[in-house]
This record gives sequence, C-alpha cells and structure tokens, in this order.
Amino acid sequence: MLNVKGVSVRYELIPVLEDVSFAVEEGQFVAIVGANSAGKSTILKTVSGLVSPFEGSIEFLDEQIDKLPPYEIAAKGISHVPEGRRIFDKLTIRENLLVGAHMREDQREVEESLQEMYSLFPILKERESQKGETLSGGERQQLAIARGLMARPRLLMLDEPSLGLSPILSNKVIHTCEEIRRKGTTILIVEQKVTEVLKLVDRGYVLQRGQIILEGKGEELLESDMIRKAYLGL
Amino acid sequence: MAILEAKNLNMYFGELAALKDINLSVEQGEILGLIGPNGAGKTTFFNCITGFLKYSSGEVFFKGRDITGLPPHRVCHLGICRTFQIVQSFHEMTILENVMMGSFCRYPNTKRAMSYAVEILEFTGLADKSDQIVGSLTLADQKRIELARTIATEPEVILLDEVMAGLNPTETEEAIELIKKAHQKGLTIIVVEHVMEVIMNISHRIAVFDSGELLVDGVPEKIVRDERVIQAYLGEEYHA
Repeated sequence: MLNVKGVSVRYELIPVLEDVSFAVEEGQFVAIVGANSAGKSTILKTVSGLVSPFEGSIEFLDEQIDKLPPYEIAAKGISHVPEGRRIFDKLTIRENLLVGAHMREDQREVEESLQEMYSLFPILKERESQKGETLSGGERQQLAIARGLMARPRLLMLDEPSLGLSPILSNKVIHTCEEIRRKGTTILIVEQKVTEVLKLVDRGYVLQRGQIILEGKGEELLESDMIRKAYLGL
Repeated sequence: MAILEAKNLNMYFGELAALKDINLSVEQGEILGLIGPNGAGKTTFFNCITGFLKYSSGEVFFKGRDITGLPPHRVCHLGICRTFQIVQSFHEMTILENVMMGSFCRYPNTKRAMSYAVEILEFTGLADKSDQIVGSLTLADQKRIELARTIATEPEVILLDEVMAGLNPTETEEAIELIKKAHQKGLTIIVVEHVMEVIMNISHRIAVFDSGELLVDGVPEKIVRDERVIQAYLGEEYHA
C-alpha cells in the first residue's frame, strides 16, 4: 500500500533521513520507534507531503505521491495526526471534527462517524459545543486523533498519540488503534511507549540518526537486546 | 513551614468548576507529584498559582506572603516559575537566546544574562546545541529548553507541566536525573506528569486531582494502592 524507497531528507544542509526504505501493506499496523531526533516525525511529514524528500520516492496504492502537495495526498486517503495537538482553538469540538471529514464524498455518513468518535472518546461528546481553546491538553490529544479518523482514511498516520494522556487513556488509545485496524484502516504509528506498541503491531522499524537500523515483527523486536538496552533501559 | 500554600482555591470557567475548594501546600525542598485524569484541573491549578489565570476565589501564599492576584511576571520575580505543557518557546531564536529570556529576570545586563544562561545550558545538558534554532528541534528537546529557561529565572519553586511527555524510557531516565539534580540545588518542585515511573520515582508526596477536586494526597506507596485513584486514573492493571 505504502512504499517508501530510498528516501533522504535534509533540513537546509543537515541530513535528517538517509536512504530510508520501508513498506506498509494494506491492513497492517506498523510502528516506527527510536530516540528523539531520530527522524520519526520527519518520516510521517514526508509521506504526507509537508516535507519534500531530497532523494528517493514514495508510492501510495501504486501511485507516486512524493511530488504532490499535502492536500492532494490527504485526498488520496492518507490522514496525518501530527504531534502537538494542533486543533482549531476558535472552533467547537464538533466543528473541529467536521473539518476532518470535509473531503469525504459520503457526507451522509458523517453524522454516523461523529457518533463513533463520541463513543470512542466520550469526553468529546460532553464537550461537543465548547470551543477548542477550553480543552485540557489530554482532551486536545483525543480530539486530534478523532479528527484524523473523521476523514475515514485508508492509511492513518499517528505521531505519538499517547502523549500527555493519563495511564488509563493512553492504554485505551493504543488499544483503540488495534480496534481501528480491525475495522480495516491501515495504521502507521510513531510511539514512545515502545513496549506497549510493539506488542500490538505487525511490523516495527527502528530508526537511529535518520537510518533504519532494525526491522521485524513487533514481538521479535521486543526480544532484541539492542532495543532492550537502547530504548527500554533494561 | 509550607513554602507555597493554596487555600480554598476555586476557579470557574462560566458554569464549569475547574477547581473546587482546593487546599494544598508544599513544603520547602519537597517534590510534590500532581496526577489526575485529563481535564482534572492540574494545569488550571498551575495557571492560578502563577498568575496566568485570575481565580474566582481563594488565596495563595508564598513563604507566608499573600500573592493572590499578582501578575505572572511578579510571581516569577518572587521565585515561582513554571513550564508550559504546550511549549511556549521563541521559535525563531536559538536555544541560548531562549534560556536568556529566563536569566534576564535576574540579570538585566546582557553579558551576565548570557553567562548565566550558558551555565544553565551546561547544567541541563543542552550546551552543545546552544546555537540551534528552537523551531527546528523535536518536542522533547523543546520541553527540555522550557525546563532550562525556568531554572534560569533562579526560582525557589518550579512547577513542571508534563516536561517528560514524549520521551522514551531511556530518555526518561535522563530527565529524572536532571530533575533530581535541580532538586539538589535546593529547588522545591511540583510536577504534573502522566508517566507513573517518573512520579513514583521522584515524588516525596503525591496529590491526586479529579474533576477539579483534590481527591487524596499522601506518600506514593499509599496513592498507588488507593482504590479511588486506581478507578479514576491508573486503571485495573495497577491492582497488585
């Protein structure tokens, strides 16, 4: 479904990604893990067109997308929930969610999706008519994820969805990803809760200083000495 | 004696009670962990203490002095400084310049502000990146800069709002060491964090907020076994 081939990215002259290649198959749940500054968020930004690769190509559903602007990539079915909870402060929670669905052709089903989001994140239902600016940090995070899902994407990319959530909620969000995948959405996730996420994913990639240094099934990676030492402090 | 004390603090946003009659104090040299579900009022509590919000009623005392209603810059000058959960860096400026924004609070002279900021950058392990533009950094690095800028104001009390969110387990260990180092400098610390390994590791005492109320406070061992805390916040897996 998604094929990233030999992608290199530079911020000005600083290399951020070097010759990164990986694939995500339809229906898979795939994680990218690694230290901060390794380039994980940059991978997601490159796929969604916010950053242009310096070398390499990206294909989505057999079509080259690396030269397309972000809105065309989004229209092809890729939803990107960036790190940092960027919601619209002056819009209500409901309006924020509807923004996520504005490119959908099945507008009649949008109300149904809204109800799905409300059952996934009940606090959003409670706060439905409040402005985004009144939400707490954790509530913003839930809204950002739900807005990404409102697009009913083929591929959902989540950048640290558990950031700033209470233990109960953070567990719930990671397991919700599994549920979303079961319903047919392919997921590419960047997450620092390495142990929790690697238990659930089909495949994981370990990024270090802009390069993929290890890949494998989630459970296999958890067994890896390198991962245990470098990322789990074991 | 309590270095910081909130008495009967109430904060309403329209009809919504974000804080209900909070009575909470922190002793000099103490590390107080503040936990609770998302939306429980933790950040609002920080906003009230530091003057970013005018609370509806109640009083705040710092070293016995009533600081109720003081604006943020006065509170900072007195010796209470905080970080922001949603980072508030100066994106176009370098790390050094960002930290100087803190040290200017004590050292109006640019040269002295700079040399103190450099000292803080060394203390926080950011010295080798000091000339990088903050906007180009990861969120985790930006959070570290928030902490550095806060310490650069030479505070007596610091309020840390999720400075460790987004760190992997190894990076979290490093951040814990940094907070312990700051504590050894004599700082009193209130820390809001969802990573329980951190809270349990560094807090002398933990206060739990739920729906704007102080649910319970006590030593960490007591808090993790409290049925109400498990139900509202930690989840069933914390049942021993």
